[in-house]
This record gives sequence, C-alpha cells and structure tokens, in this order.
Amino acid sequence: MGVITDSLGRYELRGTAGTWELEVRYLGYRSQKLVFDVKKDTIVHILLKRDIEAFDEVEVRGSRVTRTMESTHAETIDQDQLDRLRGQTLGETLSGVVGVDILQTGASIAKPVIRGLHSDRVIMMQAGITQEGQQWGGEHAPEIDPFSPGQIQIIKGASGVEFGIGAIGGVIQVIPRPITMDRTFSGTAYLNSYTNNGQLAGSVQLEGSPSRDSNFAWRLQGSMRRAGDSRTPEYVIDNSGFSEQSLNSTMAFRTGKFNHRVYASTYATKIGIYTGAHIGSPNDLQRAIDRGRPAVEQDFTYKIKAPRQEIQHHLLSAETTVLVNKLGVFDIHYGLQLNNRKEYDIHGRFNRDVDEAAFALTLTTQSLDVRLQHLPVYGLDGKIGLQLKRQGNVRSSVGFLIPDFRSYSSGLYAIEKKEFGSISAEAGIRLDYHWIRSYSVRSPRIEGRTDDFIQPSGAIGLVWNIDPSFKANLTLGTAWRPAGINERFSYGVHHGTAQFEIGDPDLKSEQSINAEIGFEWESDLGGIRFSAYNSWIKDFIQLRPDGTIVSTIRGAFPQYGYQQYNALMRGLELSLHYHPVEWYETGVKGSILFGEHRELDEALYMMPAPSATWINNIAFADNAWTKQNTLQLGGKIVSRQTRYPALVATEAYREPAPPPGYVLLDLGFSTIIKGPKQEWNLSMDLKNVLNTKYRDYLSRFRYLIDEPGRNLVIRMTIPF
Amino acid sequence: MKMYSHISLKMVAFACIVAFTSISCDNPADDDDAGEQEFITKVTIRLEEQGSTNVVSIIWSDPDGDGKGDFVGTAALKTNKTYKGSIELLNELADKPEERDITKEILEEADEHQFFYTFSSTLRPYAAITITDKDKNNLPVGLKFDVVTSALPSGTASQSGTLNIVLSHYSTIKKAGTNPGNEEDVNITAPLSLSN
Repeated sequence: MGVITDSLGRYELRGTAGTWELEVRYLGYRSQKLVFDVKKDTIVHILLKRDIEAFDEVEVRGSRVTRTMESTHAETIDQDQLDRLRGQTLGETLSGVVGVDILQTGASIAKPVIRGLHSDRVIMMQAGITQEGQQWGGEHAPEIDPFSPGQIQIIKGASGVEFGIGAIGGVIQVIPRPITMDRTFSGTAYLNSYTNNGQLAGSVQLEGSPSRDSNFAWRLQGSMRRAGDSRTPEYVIDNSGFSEQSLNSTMAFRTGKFNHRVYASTYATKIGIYTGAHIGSPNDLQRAIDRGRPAVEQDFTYKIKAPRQEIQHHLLSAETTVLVNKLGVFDIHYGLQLNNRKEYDIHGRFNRDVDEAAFALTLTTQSLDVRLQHLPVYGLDGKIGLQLKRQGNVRSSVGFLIPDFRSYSSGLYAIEKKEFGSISAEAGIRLDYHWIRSYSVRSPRIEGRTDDFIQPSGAIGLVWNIDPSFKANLTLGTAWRPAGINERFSYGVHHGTAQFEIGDPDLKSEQSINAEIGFEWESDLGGIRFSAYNSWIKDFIQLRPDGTIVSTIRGAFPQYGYQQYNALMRGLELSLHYHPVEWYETGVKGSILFGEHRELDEALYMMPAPSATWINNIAFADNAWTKQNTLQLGGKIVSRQTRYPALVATEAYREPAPPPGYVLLDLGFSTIIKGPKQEWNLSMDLKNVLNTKYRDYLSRFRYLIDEPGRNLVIRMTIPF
Repeated sequence: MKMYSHISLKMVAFACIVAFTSISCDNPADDDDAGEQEFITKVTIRLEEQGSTNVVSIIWSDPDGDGKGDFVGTAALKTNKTYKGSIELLNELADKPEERDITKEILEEADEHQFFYTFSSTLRPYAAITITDKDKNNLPVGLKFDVVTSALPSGTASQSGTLNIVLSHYSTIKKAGTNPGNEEDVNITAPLSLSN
C-alpha cells in the first residue's frame, strides 16, 4: 500500500489494525523506515532528514531547487555540456553562454563579462563561497581549475539580495560535481590537447566511500596544464604560454542529523604576458600600435619569461547542514581563502634582479554564511540568512599597486516565495554593512583612512507558468558595491596602457537596478528563449582621461581618473533551437547590448559588440564501436563595435577606433566509444577553421596583435 | 547519535570562531618605508663650459618619488661655446646608499642602454650634441657628451627651445647604437635658452 502526500506533506493511509512498517521516501532526503503498532486512527508526523548529497544531485539536473531565485535569469552549463566545452581557461568555457563575453588579455588570461560587466561587478562562487582574489584587475583571471566544476550556473543581472555586495552584473557559480555515498570506488581521467599553443591538459579524479551504504564519501582530483606560445595566423605571440596545477579534495560525511562537507583546493598558475604589451611610455605605445605585430618575431616555446603572473589560490570550504524540527534546514558554511599574486616585470629598471616580483599581494578572506531554509509558513516558502566576511590584503613588494587594507562585511537577507495559481511570486530584501580600513603608504603619499558603507538591496520576481511548455518572467533586482580599492587609491603609470591612473578615495558606492522580462517556450521540436533587460547604474565608476598631462621620468602621460556618473545598459538576448528530424538540430544565439553614459550622452567604454553564434548538429547512427556520433558545424559572428566614446586623452593621442567585426567557423566531431566496461567520450573540435586573422574589441591587446588562429582541440573522458 | 550531533555542532562553532579571530598571516599595516622602489628622483645634467669655470646645470626632480616630476628652472647656454656634458641619475629615496646612484647601474649595463639627446627645431641649427663614451661593443652610451653651440643670426639676442633626453633600454632587441629601442627608461624634455 502506498500514498503520495500533497504539496504540504499531508497524507492518509487506510488499513487494518496491526503492526505496520512504513517506509517514507522523498527526493533529496534520506528514506526512513518506521515500525509501529496501529490500534486506532493514529496521526504520525514524520520528519525526513535531508540527504545533502542527493540534494546536490538534484541541483545538477534542474535549477528549481534552492540557491537562486526562480525568477532570475539563470543559465546552466551541466556536466555533459561542460565535458564538451571545457576550454583552456574557465573564461573560455563560459563564452558559449548568450550574454557572456570574454575580456581577454592575450591567449592566457580570460575573464568572463556578463552583459558588459566584469571584475568587481560580477561575483564568482566556488564550492558555495565567493571566490576572493585580486578580482578588481581586468587582467586578473579567476583562479579556478576548468576541470573541477560539475556544473556552472550563470545568473545575469543585479542579484544583490542573495549574493550580497558586488553582484551588480551577475553571478557565476562554479558547483563541484555531486558526491555520492553509494559507490565504493570510481575514477575518471580527462585529457585535452590544443594544437595552437601545443597545450596538454589532464585531470584525474578518484572517488569512493568505504561501503555501499556508508556515511562517508571522498573525492580527490588533480589537474595539470601546460601551454606554450599561441600562434596568430601570421606569427607567434611571444611569451603567451602558461601552466596550471591544481588539487582538490572533498569529504562528505554524516553524524546524526548533520551532513558535513569539506572541500579544499589549491591552485597554482604561471602566466606569460606578451612581451610587446609591456609599455613604458606613450611613445612606446604609439610605436607598438603602429607596428601592429611583435617587434621581434620569436620561435614557439614553452618557456615563460617576464612579464608574467604567478598566482596561488588556496580554498577551504566547510559546510554543515542540519534539519531542525519545525523550522527547516540550517546551513552553516565557513570559507577560508588565501590568494597570493605576484607580478613580474620584463626587467628591473636597470640591473635589478628580475626574479624579484614587481608587485606581490596576499589576500586572506574568511567568510561565514548561516542560512535557514524554512518550512512553509502560511504558504510562504523561503530562506533567511546572515553572511559575515573578514578580509586582509597585504603587499610585500617594491612596487605600489594598492595599499594594504582590512575589511569586514556583514549582510542579512530574506527571500520568500508564494504561489498564486500559475503565478509564482518572489520577493527578497537585504541589508549590507561594509567597513574598510586602508593603510598609509609613504610613496606615493597615501593617508590611511577608515570608511564604512551601509546599503539595502531588494528583489521582486514573478514567474507565470502559462502552460508546461511556456513560461514568462518579470524580475526587478538591485545590487551595490563600494568603490574598489584600486578605484580609490591607484596612483601611477599603468604599464600596457600608458596611462597615469589616479584613484579617488572619496568615491561613493555604485548601485544598480535591473529590470528584466523574458519568456521561454519548449516543445519536442525546439524552443525559444528571449529576454530584454534595462539596467540603471547609479554612480557607475569608470576610468576616463581627465584632459591633464602628467610629466614623469618616462615622458608625459595622459592622466586618467576614476569618475562617477549614471549609466544605462539595455540589451536583448535570444536563443532558438530547432530539432525538425531526429538526426539534425540547429540553434542560433544572439545578444545585443547598448551602454550609455547618461550625463555626457555618449556610449559606454568597452561594451561588447553585438554577436551571434550558429550551431548545427548532425547525428549519425550508432555502430558496434561507437554511439552518439555527432558532427558539429558552427560559426560565430561579431560585429564591429560602432558605439564607443571618443576618449580624447591628449591632442596627440586618442583611443583608436575598435577593430572590425569578424566571422569564425568551427567544425567538430564527438562520439562515445563503447569500451569493454566503460564508455569513453571523445571529441575533436577545429576552432577558427579558416585561420581567420582578427581582433576583438574586448581584448586588451586589440591594438597590438591579432588573436590566435586555427586550433584543433581534442578532448577525452575516460572513466575507470 | 545525540552526542555526535552536539559534538559536531560545537566543533563547527568552535572552528569558526577560532578561525575568524586567529588567522594571523594577514597583517595589513601602514607602510612608512619607501624601501627599494626603483625611483628616479633626480636627473642632473652638468655642462662644463670649456675655457672657463662656468657650469650650467639642468635639473629634473621628483623629490617624493610619486612619479610626477618636473624641471627646476630654465638652463641658459651661451653661443660659440663647447660644453663637456655628463648626466647623473639618482634615487634619493633609496635606503641603502649603494642603491642611490643609478648612473653606476647604467654604466654596468651600458651595452643595453643608450641616451638620445635631441634639441628642438628652434635650437637645432645652433647647437649640436655628440656622445663621447662607448660601451664594450664600441657603441655610444651617452653618459658623457659634448655640446657645441654656434652663433645666432644677427639681430637675435636669444633663442628658447628644449632638449629631449631619452634613455633607451634594449632588452628584447639588440642595441645597434643608432636608433632608440622600444622601451624607454627615461623620457624628459628640458626647457633651454641660448643667448649671446
């Protein structure tokens, strides 16, 4: 005899008196067996224990469960897609998502841009905690092993309520693979190779638990990557190689009502930076632009010399979940991160040892999140939470970039949801407090000071489930962030741009309000997903030339100051896919974004140009050896950015016009090889088939060198 | 079971508190030490007039080492003279005395450096500069040089202009002694006057 409860968990079983065994099951919770003697009508309250691991499994399959507000625009790259997409950098992996672009610094550094915003305006989460590196720098890539995620979720638009300070442009959540307690031992090996830069990358993952029904499970993953210089269609990009090593481990265990998970990872990378981009003076910059290619053509090498970055990131994330009677699920999450960044210049000024870092910064972050996902109260389903964070940044180098600082943040939030027939409504509110003390510097002269900021955020969302295949949503979200440490205290020449950058310690905080409408329609034949958004950013902070010229030992530099003004960003995103016959599927994705400086009535600087991708998948019949054979033909078209501000730095130097648009063609083949015991995934992708020479507006080197040319990428996944 | 739960709850709370208060590897602090920054805080060009004891000095200065610097006054040269010139670069903020003299460091790496001196068009017809020192490859360095001035046209008592001083660093391309490299360690332009 069996019964399914209603949405509130009520149930009724009719039977005869006697001894009964009752087994209760619910997805995401541990099943429970109860034995009792029934003599008369009896009311039995059963509280299920949340199965944290199974719960995560659910999260992988659908985005309906926890974490994000249902109405926000989120896109998920799941395990299968990830295995197919995994790129040489995490940024590259994300670039297939509509509305996500890449801020590129050579072939080795890629930073995700969500709807034109990046760095301090996008939150990156790893294993449930906010990744804290020196993310203010546009040429500072996220310190995450591209092999480690099991799923990546991209939340677009202001999401300050749930994610706190900084979620102005959106959030990228890197979610580890779910860990299960029912497998005694298994392993997977991943192998990638890239012909363009002679890159080899591999990762081995082992996991298991002592027995099939245990309370403990573990996982260990180690990855390595080594890349040489990238090649454009015409020349080798000198010193563009990189290397990466990382190790992560997960332990999950249960003690009584508690579920624990401890995740620890360590990541180290060494990244070469194109030598021609190290620019000492405005004359050097002009020469490099005029040349438009390396001064000296170098041969391909794996050697990484200066200028280069060396970064280590250590992360510890410990989470405990407990179901408390009549309240709900408590989640306590502690995070500790240590980020160590060293940047080496091409040479010391004269005979200084180049083994001495020009800049070295160590950032230590601790965070504590406490969250209660409460049981429904008056039809309200939701969560309340408290977040605390402590940070210390220490510089230990000869050069000055940013002063030392110590900061504390705290945030308190609540998000509730209620269903009204086919409409589900959500609302959230949050209050954040941020305290920061910046320490003095003797040269350049910077005074120490203490500032604090307090600001609310809010969100409202409506989802209208018109029918099972069609839904529409409306979202309003806000977020804010205090001015970044670099925006407040920069002082000096930025090598690579030939600008004398000056911060403003009194900058106000930046605030964004995002309004968005969207709809989604899915049928057996295909689907459409559309969204339109309008994002107002109050006191948007941007570096702009202020018309003065600074005389320095290396010549006269245009002075750039961090300025604040109101900005408006509007955009459309559309994805379509059509599946007319079993063996063929086609899809188109496109996005367009307009950024506007509201006070000067001009375009915003460095906004992604309109772009679209087209994908065709042709499936072939299975055979004795292989299955799911798919041929993929795709293309990407990026138009020239015609909307850009006339940033006139000096009479002699103004920002050159954005590079022309381009079209890239890709060709791919993927298959699953049937092995004796396990199945091997194999894919081969030829990127930039025609070896097109192009430059991208969002590349930091767009005026200096071309982007890399043709690249054959081979990926293998071998379970054992 | 019950006991386990309590232990783990306490453990979590304890671990959090300990960690939050005792992670001591981050110690942000005031930085009162200009330390070993590679500043050039002073550039001095000495021009010794031949046949006299007159010395003309051209001084560029950035005393606090914040990057913004400028020339102290306008140097005055006389027509029909030969000057023995030398240039000196200093980091007056260096803590160690041996690191103050940057000229010495350039001399040690003379084969990777070269000075380029250029008079503005207003002065070029009446002033010429010749580098007199050589590196180990017998290529010019520019720490020592001669300046020869000639007469201004009749009716002109004085002429103003500038002298541009570039220190080129050759790290990626080889020094050939003729053209500037693609990296500049110094690029300053001094105001000058030339009079009878």
